[in-house]
Amino acid sequence: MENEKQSISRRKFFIIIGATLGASVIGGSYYQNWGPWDLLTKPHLLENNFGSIEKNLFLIGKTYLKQEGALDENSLTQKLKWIENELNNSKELYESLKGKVQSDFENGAFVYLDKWILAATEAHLCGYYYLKFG
Amino acid sequence: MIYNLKTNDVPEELDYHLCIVGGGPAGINIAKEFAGLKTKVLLVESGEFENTSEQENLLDGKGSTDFVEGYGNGYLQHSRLRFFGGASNHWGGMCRPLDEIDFENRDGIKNIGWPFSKSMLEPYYRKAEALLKLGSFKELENREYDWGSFEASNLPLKTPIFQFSALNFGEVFKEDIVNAENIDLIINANLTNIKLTSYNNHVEELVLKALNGNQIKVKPDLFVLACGGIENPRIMLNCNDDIENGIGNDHDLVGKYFMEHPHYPQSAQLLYAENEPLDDTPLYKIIDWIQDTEYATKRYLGLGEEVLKKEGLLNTGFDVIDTKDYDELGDENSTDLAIKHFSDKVWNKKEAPLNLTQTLFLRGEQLPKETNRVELIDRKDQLGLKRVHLVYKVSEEEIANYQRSLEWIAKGFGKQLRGRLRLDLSFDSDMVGGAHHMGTTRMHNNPRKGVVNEHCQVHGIKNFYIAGSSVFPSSGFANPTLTILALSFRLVDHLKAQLNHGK
Repeated sequence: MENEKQSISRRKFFIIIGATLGASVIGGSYYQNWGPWDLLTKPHLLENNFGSIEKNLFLIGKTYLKQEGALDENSLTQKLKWIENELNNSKELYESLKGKVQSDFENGAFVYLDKWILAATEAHLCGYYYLKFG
Repeated sequence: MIYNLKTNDVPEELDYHLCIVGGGPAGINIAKEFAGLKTKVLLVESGEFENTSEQENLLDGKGSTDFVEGYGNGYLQHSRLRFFGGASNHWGGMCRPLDEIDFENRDGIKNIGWPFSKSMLEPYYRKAEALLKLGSFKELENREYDWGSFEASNLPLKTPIFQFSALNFGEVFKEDIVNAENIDLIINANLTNIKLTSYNNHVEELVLKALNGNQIKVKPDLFVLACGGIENPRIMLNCNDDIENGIGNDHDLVGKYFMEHPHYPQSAQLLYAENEPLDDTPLYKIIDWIQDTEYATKRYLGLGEEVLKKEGLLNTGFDVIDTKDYDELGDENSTDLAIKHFSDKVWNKKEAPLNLTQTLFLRGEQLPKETNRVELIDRKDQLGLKRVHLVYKVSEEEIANYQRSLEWIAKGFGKQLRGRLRLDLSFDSDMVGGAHHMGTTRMHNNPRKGVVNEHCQVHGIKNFYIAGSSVFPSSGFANPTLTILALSFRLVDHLKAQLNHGK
């Protein structure tokens, strides 16, 4: 099973590296923005956007994960797959995240967290961030 | 003329074309509309012109819920007044008509709706507005709310308007009543019995009694009971000489379907940006009373009728109050502040951070439920009438419904990244009532579903009418007085037609 995962990760790695190199050839310097090497969440994108409020993200993420019905790491990974699939830089992540949050509110995809109504994407992101870096 | 049943020599029997029992806004309004006409009217008031402790004692009874106890074990007394002017001696003055949806049958909500549409009542709302010196709600509500840069056009949010009137009916109309040659007012007169004719289809005689034992009988052609949402059913249930279950209670409905307007002062916190200019803050113009015309208006936050219908939501309004800075949300280690900072970041609120919190004060419509009811207990008052037991509870179903309404507000602000909501409403939340007693002699044209028909006439009793909010089959969230008055104007037209027809 572990080998299978590693194999998938390796395959993803090469696909993304390939795509990124392609993009960097076409579009410039995205290549150097790629950090090592959580292929799914591209942690530097998160850090660029949220590094200054890391403490807040941790707290929200930790609170979310303690809640009944919180998604586990695998499910969170699936939920946040859009980050891997669509994004190349911090700005894109940021705009895409805003769109997801708006769409969650539009569709009533809420998560209650200490009585606050959060877009599901926000709760998932914070939960994942805490799991990875908290 | 004024009679005082306690002290004056009053004839033992009196005949009137119309006898109105209850000197509150509805009763006074109906009486004054007959001033100067040929109709002989008697207006019956159980108290005097000031509150007295012995009258207050008559209001005592038993309440069975936390909510009722929450009034210091005195909800039945504190929410009512038993002297001339009735509830207008202490009302808050908030005025608003019911919404169109309040009159409609709604899918998924049982027992809700009136036997006629709002348009039937519109001309009478105009009269009620004039009486209370209010502007036209129709006109005011046509003025669109300026949401600033907040894009509300595709949201289900609305901003219903309230107006204010402090009219004290006892003080303002006493002279009109007393000076009208065709109207007699009798004070200290408590209705203790309603006698029917042998076929039980006509009120023949009313027995009025003072606390000192003086007693008279009144024979009215038409009789209007206007003693409020708790006393109306209490009197009808107590008057069981002719019918064991009480008068008008053939189908065991009298006293049932009691409704209040549950008030949750802390239902939710809305965190949002205080924009520059301030006028661009979406709810800025909702917060305060505004004197932007000759009338003072106050807007609430509510949901549009389309979403109420589609989602099966109760019609609920939210006052926006209690502005606080965000840092009052909690300390630096609280999730409250974490969410604020996170939202600022994700939603890019560098220019206008989410620094403002407002409390949403919820006023809810209730589900009409027969389990919420006024019933009699064996303990009697000084007049020999059984006292009431108010059995009342807000259900979990209603709380869940209010929560869903709040989620729609969260949606409206969230999808524009303009604000987010902390929902503090739960079944254990502190709740008070509006002292609005509704539904206990509900209106329905089917006698198996209502105590009165659409003309406020008690089913099966030709000359017996009921005025006041006890006839409301559903309540919306608007304070009831304006609708009580509109209904009483409508009843006046009907009574006049009946009296003319009789002659």
